[in-house]
Amino acid sequence: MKNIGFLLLVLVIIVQPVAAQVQQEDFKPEDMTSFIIQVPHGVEGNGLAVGNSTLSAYLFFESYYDGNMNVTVDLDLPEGFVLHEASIHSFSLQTEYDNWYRLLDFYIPADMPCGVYNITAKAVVDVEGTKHTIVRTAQLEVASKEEVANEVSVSQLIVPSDEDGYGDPSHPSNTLVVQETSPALKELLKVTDLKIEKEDLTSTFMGIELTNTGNTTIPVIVTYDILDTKTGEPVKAFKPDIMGMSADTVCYATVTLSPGSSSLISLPLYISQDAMGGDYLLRVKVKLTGSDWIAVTKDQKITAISRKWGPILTTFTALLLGLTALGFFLSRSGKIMDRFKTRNLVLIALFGTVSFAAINLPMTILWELSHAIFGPFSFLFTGLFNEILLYMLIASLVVLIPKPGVISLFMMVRFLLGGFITGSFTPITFITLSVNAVILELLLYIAGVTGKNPAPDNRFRMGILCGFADMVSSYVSFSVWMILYRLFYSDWYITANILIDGFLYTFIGTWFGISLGNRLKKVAE
Amino acid sequence: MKSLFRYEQKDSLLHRLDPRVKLFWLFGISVLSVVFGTPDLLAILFISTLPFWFMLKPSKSRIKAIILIFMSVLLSFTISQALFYYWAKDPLFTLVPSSFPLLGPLTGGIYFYADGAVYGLYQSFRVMASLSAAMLVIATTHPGMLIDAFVRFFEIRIAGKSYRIGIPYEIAFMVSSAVSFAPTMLEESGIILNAMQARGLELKGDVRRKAKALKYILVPLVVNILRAGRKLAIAADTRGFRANRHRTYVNELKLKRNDYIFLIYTILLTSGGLYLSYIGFGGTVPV
Repeated sequence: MKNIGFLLLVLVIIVQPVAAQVQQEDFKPEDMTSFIIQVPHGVEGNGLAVGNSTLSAYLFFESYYDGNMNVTVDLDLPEGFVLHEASIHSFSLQTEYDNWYRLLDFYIPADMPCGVYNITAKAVVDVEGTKHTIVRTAQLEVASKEEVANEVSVSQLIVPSDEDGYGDPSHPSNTLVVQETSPALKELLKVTDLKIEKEDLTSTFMGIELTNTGNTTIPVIVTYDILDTKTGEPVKAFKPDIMGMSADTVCYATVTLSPGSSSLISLPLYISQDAMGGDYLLRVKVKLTGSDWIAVTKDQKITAISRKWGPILTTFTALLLGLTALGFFLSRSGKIMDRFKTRNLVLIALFGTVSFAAINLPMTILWELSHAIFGPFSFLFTGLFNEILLYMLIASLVVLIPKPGVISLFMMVRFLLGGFITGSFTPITFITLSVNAVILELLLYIAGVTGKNPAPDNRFRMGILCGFADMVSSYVSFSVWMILYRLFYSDWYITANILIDGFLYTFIGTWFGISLGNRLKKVAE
Repeated sequence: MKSLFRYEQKDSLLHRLDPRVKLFWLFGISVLSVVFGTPDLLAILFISTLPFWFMLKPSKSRIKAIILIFMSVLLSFTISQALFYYWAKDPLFTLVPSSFPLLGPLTGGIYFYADGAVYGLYQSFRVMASLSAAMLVIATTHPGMLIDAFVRFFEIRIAGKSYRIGIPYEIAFMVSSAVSFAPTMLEESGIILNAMQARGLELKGDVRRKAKALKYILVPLVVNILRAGRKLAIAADTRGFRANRHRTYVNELKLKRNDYIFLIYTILLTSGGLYLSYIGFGGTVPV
């Protein structure tokens, strides 16, 4: 046994140097190492720079040799380039896939003549005492600023975009939605000394398409600013601090533009709660890597739109008003109903029937038909029924029964009748009818049209009051449709509806309604 | 069209349910139609009402009328949003060019957008869902029962005293009077129209002539209504209407097993929908 062990030991001692010799003899530096130089970092091939730039030369060395090697790397820069640190670096790589890299900063003086410069990196590899030399060369073109500016361009700006830089067709272009707090709510919170819990920042993206028309690879850094159109100063609300850091540290992108190509990149866009709606100037800046010089600037006007707080608050208030009015009515229903004689109630009910038969039923069919025929101007036709006829009935009813509550009862009958017959038990019908009733009741009572000494005969006064009330109701109605059913209406359409249907037609209807009421009074008495 | 809005006497599951439970379901559907945001959920909400129509087995004429109503809602929403959708891009065609005298500068041009039409199409599910539910409630509930449900929506007895939440019974009386008077009124207006035409009233012509003709029909119609109303009021008063505030009712409303099951379904549907809206499927308020 001892003999076998001795023999094995001898064998190992003999074989080891032979094996090492074989391995060392087989070492091929190009196959068993990887040596890369990139100037500037990230550019494969020829780089581009302008004078007065600080660039980094990237050196990378990796061993594929299963053994120890000592490497000395020497960076040789052209005359005039200023290296910020030592040009020679030595290191040892112990095993396969062991690697080393450095970014070596150097400066290109402003007066460096334009032209193509060779930057050479030499690696001397010492394996078991045998030295092998590997040389790599990168070319760096020092170009004039004009030349670079002519080759790089921002071909497209997409605001807002998705995270890949592509536009979203469901959002309008060049528009940002700011989540600003309602001005009314802000004021209320100030008065009540309450504070708003700050929500997270809103963020979106912008897509930037860059084009390189030249023959050289161009490394660039892309940043942006959102400027105030009047002062030209960057607006802090669009570049707020993010977790204690300046937004500039995240709102940039480094891109290497291949010759004759276009690249689409995306940049994040942050919107703080302080951002206000309005017009802004988006300025995208493209800098050449290593230089502070801005090669390309692209300006685009963008609009920050805030939520339409008017309709939101109107809907909320109208809903509260409707519910309060209903609650008030139900809690005091006995007292309210006792003011009316049975014949009054029957009369109101029958007026409800007339309004339903003369307005709601024809409108069920004519509404869509008129939309198809008259398009956006159908309100001019439907208003004849919805406003003139309706207010004729309301005004004549007020002349016949000039008591507070008469309009509320009429509206309630209309709501229930519409619900029972056409199924219009919708929140929108409830809100619009209740707001209409409350405003009309209040205005008519305050103006003395209804109440203890009622005076419902003044056509002009009542026409104005009803017209005003219907203008408010029309606005509420549009707000409710927009908020609850997410519908959109143009401003001109809303204004035209409010003025023509809401005021003019109502005024006309009320005017004739008082005549009708006075004639009916004789029959009623 | 007349048959669409009428109660249909049958013996379906919905017919047997308490009207208050059906009203609660309608309320749930209306709430969800407002809070849902995604087209899929809106479509599902609308579709959730359809099985009840299948259970109801409506007549062919009713089906036609329902389709007509839904189509008209759909068309109305589609057209309006094709014209006004804020985010729309690339108009399909121009209705009023911005250079058109007066209207052009006022409106900034009116265009028809395809993406607006699609938006309007799926927003129409909001109205169609609640409309479908409301029509189901009407088709399966006798008007008298429905009024009863409104009057005695919620009733509780504490220490021998009854507390009720609902509309005053006078309102119920007004609504039932209005409903029952509608056919009479339509008949009456036909008679007046014939009488006026016999006296030489010309309906054909310009708007002014039509407005004048309307006046000739409307005034006698309302006069007749006043007279009929007075008779009705006297009849009601002589029968002790409003004589006693605490009145009793012929039909007692009491929830049964099926009502509780449907109530649980409604609660689950509504709360599930609200939860979905809360976790991100809800609709944001438009900007």
